[in-house]
Amino acid sequence: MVPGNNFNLLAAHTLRGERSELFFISFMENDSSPSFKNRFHSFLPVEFNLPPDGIPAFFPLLQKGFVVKARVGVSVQAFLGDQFGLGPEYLRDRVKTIFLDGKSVDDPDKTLILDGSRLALSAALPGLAGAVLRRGSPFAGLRSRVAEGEKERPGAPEEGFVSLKIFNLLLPELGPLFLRKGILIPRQDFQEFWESLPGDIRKRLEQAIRVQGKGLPPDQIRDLIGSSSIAWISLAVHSGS
Amino acid sequence: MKILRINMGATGGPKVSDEPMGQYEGLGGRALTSAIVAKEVPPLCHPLGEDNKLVIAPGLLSGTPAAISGRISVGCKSPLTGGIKEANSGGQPSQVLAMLGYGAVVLEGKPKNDTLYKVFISKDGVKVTPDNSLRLLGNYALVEKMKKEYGEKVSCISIGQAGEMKMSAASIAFTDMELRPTRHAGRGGVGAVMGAKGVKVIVVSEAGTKARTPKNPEKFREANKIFAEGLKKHPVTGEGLPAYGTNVLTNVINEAGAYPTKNFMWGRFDTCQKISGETQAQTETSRGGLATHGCHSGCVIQCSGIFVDKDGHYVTKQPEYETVWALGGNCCIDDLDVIAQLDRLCDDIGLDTIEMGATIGVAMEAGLAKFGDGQASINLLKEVGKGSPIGRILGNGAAITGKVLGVERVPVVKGQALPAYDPRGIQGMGVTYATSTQGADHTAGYAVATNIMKVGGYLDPLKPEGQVELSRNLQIATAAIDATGMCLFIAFAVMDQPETFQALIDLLNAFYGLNLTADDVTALGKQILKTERDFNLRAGLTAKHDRLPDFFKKEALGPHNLTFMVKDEDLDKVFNW
Repeated sequence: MVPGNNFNLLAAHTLRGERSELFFISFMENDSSPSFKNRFHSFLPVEFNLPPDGIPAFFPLLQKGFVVKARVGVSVQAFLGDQFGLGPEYLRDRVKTIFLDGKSVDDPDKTLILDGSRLALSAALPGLAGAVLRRGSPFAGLRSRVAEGEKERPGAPEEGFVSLKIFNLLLPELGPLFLRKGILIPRQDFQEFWESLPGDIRKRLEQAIRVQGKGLPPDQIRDLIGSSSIAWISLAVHSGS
Repeated sequence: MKILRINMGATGGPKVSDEPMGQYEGLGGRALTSAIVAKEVPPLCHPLGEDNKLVIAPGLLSGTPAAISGRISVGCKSPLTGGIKEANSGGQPSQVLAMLGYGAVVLEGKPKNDTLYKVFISKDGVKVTPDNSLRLLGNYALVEKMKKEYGEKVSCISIGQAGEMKMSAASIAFTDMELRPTRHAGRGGVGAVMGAKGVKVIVVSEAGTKARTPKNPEKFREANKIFAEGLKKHPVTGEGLPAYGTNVLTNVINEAGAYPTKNFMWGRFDTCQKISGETQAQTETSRGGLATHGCHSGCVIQCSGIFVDKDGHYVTKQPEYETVWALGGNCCIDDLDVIAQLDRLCDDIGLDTIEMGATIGVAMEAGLAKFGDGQASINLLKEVGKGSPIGRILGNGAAITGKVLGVERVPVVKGQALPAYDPRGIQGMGVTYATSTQGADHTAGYAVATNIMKVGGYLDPLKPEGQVELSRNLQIATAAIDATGMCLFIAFAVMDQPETFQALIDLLNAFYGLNLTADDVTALGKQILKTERDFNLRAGLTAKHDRLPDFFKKEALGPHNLTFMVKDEDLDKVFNW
């Protein structure tokens, strides 16, 4: 794990604060590198094999936010549908609230995902605010919305990294899917998550963990995920019966 | 139904009288409290004086088998806003009072001395007794004492120390199904008015009561079935709220950049996921608490819960979104256990959690404590309960605290603190905050389909005029729902499912033998707002009070860097109908 040129910038993202996140995004936008393949190379591959009832332990990470590599320059609908298998009915009926870079999305078929975008997905929500923020809300006039119109942007990078958050009812429905495909988590977020786990759950995860394909004793796991030479954790969680 | 009046200032001690509903026949909840206050309270009276009245009114369908119909309204002239006030609450008393045949309980006059009274209401009558042993008890200890005295088949309406000390942030507590004082008519200082009347607690006995009988039982049963099914099948009322409670909003409002953080300085709280509804529910269930629970009998949504500590001991009910925001994110506190302790303290002392969170935020900005310091927040609330000089200042709310401590960024409208949605992040919320008859209030303009309610068509939603129109329609619809005693959370099922809305109207028609239409419901909402606006005008509240504080227009809120942009002249159009 040798930190590359991007190490400091990526590590900055792991600091708390809106500014650090914006910094990350601005880094992504200003990057002139033709390839994104090296961007997340200072990562530690971590895998778990767990029965389905072990999956919810990872949901706090999905609320906090994670990164996926995907084809970008396409609509939100295509991004979630073609690449992650979310059907149009599911998007219409369950994913009632979508934010792209903090703004409400009304038509996911006409809203573009770009490299460095920040996407958040939620079910329908209570309260006036919940109604206002909902996709296609009759009260959409009470808030701002993301620009619409493009379904695809020719010439945009084909592959990029998108920051994702999943909330509430969608956690148990979409969480296993993204965890199985694999996600990137800032190492400090993963360390904080690991340290906040209740003792019995951590013990269970310690038994199921594979770091670079190998099982490790608890103290070595702790040392590794606490190592500042690692910027990101590449996390995959497989669920057997 | 009848009205129970207790004149606390009568010669020779409190005098009790029952009277028919008379001119108030057909009104309930907010429609009734506002009608009585507007007609009987001199608008220029002192809110803590003998001329103010405290009106406690169950909703039109409370005490019936109608699903989720147990909300209760409390009305008076507010010591916080100086205008008319309706604060409403869940809990058991609404159902029991209605089953006892009371459309309203009105506390009038003012005792000649500082004797403290308890009121006992049962099917056998009403008894008002002096009891100074209750002085300065917190709500929890008070209810325990009442249980010993009257048994477990009662519910209580009470004030804590804040109400006795007549603080403007004082709430009135209503006991829940477990006979705990966890449900509050929080806003506007209604607890101070109860304190000024010298009433510490109203104990309501359910012994010998039975559900009110509809005029048309068959139609009522059928409508109730459709109504309850509508609530259960909707994803918000049937899934999201039961699973995560109202705190499900934390992550989303934060993502929208509308989560007021550090006394409204920022629009996002970096560690909000630590206090989100998702985390809260997981914490509760993993410790042996409850993430799904009703606040009153007959609730089919079950958006509440039971918060327990790490050892599984009860701390408080599941704190709601606005509470978690006020005492959490607004003060940069991201510890659910601290927030639960603060919520418990507010319930015990009898304080509005929104007002106190905003107040502590202002105090933190003034340097009284550091942002993020949970223990300091706990200490400040305890000062309020003790009635120390600083506690007295804090207990009178954010506006007073800001003035005393010299803070410019004070998030209030008409003296009442803004709730958990920054109007720069969601501009339309600001229209309702500014123009509501109640002061800044997130429930004043709630989500009921304007097209279904037929209270106005769409204008261009991107223009301020569109926001004004929407806010007006929502305020009308909310006022109407507040009159029914229905929980406002029915709004979602009603909004999305026309048959559920029709079932609500059918419930009213079947119960009272009426032929109401959607237009009649709209007319009721308008009438309530007209009555309240008229009272406020006579109390001296004019267009210049329908404004957000200046800093919302001057300080841009990140991450979207927006100020509040709706013009004053557009705000003045909200009540032009």
